[in-house]
Amino acid sequence: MNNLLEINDLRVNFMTESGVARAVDGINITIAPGRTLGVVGESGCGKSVTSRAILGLVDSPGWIESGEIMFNSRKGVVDLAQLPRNGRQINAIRGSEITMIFQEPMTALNPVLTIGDQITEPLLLHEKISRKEAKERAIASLAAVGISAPRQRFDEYAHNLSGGMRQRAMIAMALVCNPSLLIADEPTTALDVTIQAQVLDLMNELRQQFAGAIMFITHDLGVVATMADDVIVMYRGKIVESASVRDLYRNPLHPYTQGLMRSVPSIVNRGETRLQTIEGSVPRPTEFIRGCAFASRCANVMPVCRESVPALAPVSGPHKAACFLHHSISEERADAA
Amino acid sequence: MLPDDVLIQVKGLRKYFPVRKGMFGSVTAHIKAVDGVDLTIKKGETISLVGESGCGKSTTGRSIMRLIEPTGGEVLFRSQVLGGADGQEAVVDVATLSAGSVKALRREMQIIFQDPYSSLDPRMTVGELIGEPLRVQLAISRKERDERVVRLLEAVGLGADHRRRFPHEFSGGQRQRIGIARALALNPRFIVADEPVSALDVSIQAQVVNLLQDLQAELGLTYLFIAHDLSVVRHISDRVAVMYLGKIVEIADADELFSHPRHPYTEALLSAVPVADPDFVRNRIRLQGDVPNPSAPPSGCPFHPRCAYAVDRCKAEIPSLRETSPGHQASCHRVEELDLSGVDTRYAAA
Amino acid sequence: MEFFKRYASDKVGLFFGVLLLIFYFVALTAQWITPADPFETSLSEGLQPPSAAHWLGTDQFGRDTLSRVILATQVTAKITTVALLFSLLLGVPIGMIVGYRGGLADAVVMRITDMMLIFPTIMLAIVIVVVVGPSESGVVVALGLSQLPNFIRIARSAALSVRRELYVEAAVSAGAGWPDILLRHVLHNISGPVIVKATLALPGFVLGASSLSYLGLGVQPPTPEWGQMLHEAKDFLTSAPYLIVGPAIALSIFVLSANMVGDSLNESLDPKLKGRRLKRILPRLNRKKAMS
Repeated sequence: MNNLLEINDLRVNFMTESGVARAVDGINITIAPGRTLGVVGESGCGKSVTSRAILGLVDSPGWIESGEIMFNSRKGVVDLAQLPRNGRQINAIRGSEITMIFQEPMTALNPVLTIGDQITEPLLLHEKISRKEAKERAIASLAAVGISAPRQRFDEYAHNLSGGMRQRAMIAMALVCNPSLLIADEPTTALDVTIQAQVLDLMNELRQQFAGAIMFITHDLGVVATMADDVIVMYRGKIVESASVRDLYRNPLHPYTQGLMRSVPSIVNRGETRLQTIEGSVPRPTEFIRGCAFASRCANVMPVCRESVPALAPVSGPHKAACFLHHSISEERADAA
Repeated sequence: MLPDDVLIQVKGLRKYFPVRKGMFGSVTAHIKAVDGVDLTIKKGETISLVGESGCGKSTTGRSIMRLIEPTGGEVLFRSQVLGGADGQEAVVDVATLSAGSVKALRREMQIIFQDPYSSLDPRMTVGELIGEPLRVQLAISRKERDERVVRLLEAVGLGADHRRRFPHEFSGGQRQRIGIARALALNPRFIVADEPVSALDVSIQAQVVNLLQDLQAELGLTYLFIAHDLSVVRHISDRVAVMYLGKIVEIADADELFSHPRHPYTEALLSAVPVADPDFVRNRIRLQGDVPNPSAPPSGCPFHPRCAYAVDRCKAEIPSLRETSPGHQASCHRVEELDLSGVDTRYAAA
Repeated sequence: MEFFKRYASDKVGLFFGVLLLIFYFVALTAQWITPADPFETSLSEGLQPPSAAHWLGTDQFGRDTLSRVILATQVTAKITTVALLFSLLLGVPIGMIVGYRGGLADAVVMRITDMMLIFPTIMLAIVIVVVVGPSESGVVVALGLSQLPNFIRIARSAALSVRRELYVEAAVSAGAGWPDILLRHVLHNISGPVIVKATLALPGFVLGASSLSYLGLGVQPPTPEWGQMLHEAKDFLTSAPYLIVGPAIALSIFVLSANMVGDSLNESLDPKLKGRRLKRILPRLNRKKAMS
């Protein structure tokens, strides 16, 4: 396997009061070593659930229904979807080979442990090094994320740090074991713009030095444009478009992607008096929809869209879209082929 | 007292929160959340307050409405409700009004909250929620109230049959529409919109922004729009005021502010917004460090520790808002010498 | 409606709920359903073991124990219900108001409840009974007052957390005054925890009433009360052990039912706990189905 990660037909379901919700509904993702994949979508589209599935963190009331998550670990290729949720194998990968940065650094950091304790924890768990070595590595990694006076910060608690500093500490913690995959789930959403800019700059810098791949989950189209090499757009548990970042922004193919881009007002010019919108709202996750899930909100809807589900198929080169405007391959036909 | 076209004039508004320490809760310091804000709001305009968290923009909005008690300053408001019986308007100082008058004033000043999930009482039906302002303010029959609720629901794009349902049955965007209908119930002339779209998904944001603009055109509303998303602010505002540590550091017409900022903080704020274009060449002005602790603000210009253009004078002297061109004010000692770049010039260079 | 559906889906809660309802039904109809007159003494028929005529036997005065247990149910239900209402109707408004308004009144009320809570409930109740005098109303006042601090506290803490909710600020911005907000928003939103607390406190009331009566400080003979009957039965523990069976079983089942109902109410009223059991079990079932 040349890729670092290959997700094949992953399905994750959740039990809710009103029935089974298909949070992730048959997605395929590949991440090559060193690449940054942006995952864009609105709340409930399944982007965070996907990242949790990779880390083996899908918890009741949710479960992985089917599909595989092949990960090229240091000990060979494993299917993360098959590993027991708290088994030794997944624990060895989690926190060392795959690490995660969360949206809310205050809740993701333990308030009663020092920053140092928390950064050395994965090192002591996963690598056979002494406490002293671990401390030196932790301090080096704090310095690498631009935290001033890292030696003092090492002994401080999360509440002593500002929001931006906490997120830097989270990043230091995520990178200290040199993971091959870093998952960043809305890492700057809770931050102010000027702090967001600092953290994004830092991540971009680290991206050059750090050999691993990044999966960057966000709802902000501006953030994706500055961070990602490739982008996938998710809607209601499915990938509707996947392309290199340039192709996606120059030539968005799926009506949902187009709608998203148009509905964001531009800071650069005031533009028209009214914003373009995508009418309606995302259907409830438990609702069964025949055909394309976006059909009810789509301006270009055709009869076929309400009949069968479009497959995510190549339109030009590696640029793929799941839309009958661009090809006539339905999921049923793709399965048969 | 007020020029004819002015609805609200805020003069020297201050809100200090005491910091208490020790067993007897003695006040050891004050957080100056709002520290001398002057603001003129014209009838029918949308003025935005922008800034980062903790800059005092929400506190300013709430103090103007007297949802929190200001520590000092004046909020002159042109009121119809408190005016004469002959429909005369009266100019009142909201900051010193009696509790009874404040209640009456709520008919003219309303607020839309950021979070449509927590601002609607989960145990009330939508009909009760929208009807609440009518119930507490007006002596009208239940039937009449119900009719007005239906009209309000329709005005915000919801249906009459929605009024018997509970908030949790609605999506975020629909809830924000309910919040808007509630704010409109008493026919206010002034609305504080406190981050009304920040909690919503991108595709829903646009719907709500459009709704707010349509309602403004239809009802002649005046908005104080509090936001941190500068793209939305640029789209919706006539004028923009930038706040930093409880003070307004720059205020101008929206287009002017975005293309020709005169305060270094505004410039940094504009340049920090990520642009949805992968080819965009970033010429970012990086701000060093974080916003200082508001209970111990830096000496001189509060922005000087993070400012790339700071000189010795900035550490010693507090700058005041000065007019740099008609309608454009900035509080910076070096406002005449600096040539700052706005979003347009940055983009053109790319 | 949704609440009843959710409660009914909890089989354990439903079972004990029905049991509790039976108790109250018996209490309401006690006068008519006793097989014999619970006060009629007949010394010749004293201390008879259970028989077809007297299912639970007779006491030393020849009174039918079953009839006395049934009447005692009424007495207990009356005492505890009135005492519960007493502390509920007094404690909840006080707690709500001081919690919402804060300030000096809050501090004073809280220190008083702190002082009351220092003493064990039963100690406090005994002191109050000694002052008021041993009688039914004495028990009511004693139990009501001794549980009052708990209700003040639960209402206060609920009001404190509701006070900070954005929807309260929204109501203020609509022009609503504090009585209106307390009645419409706070009471509505704290009713869940208060109802649960009340149901969970019920066994305490029953045990308290029985303990006081057992000590001779509560209901006075010849009126039957579970605790008082146990007190009488203990003298004949070796010669007529069947005498304790009736009141003991009634007391235990009542306390157990009230506890279980309180737990189930807690789950069906709290949206956060809502369907927790269901969610824990269902995915596993589904997975099994998918595998087979």
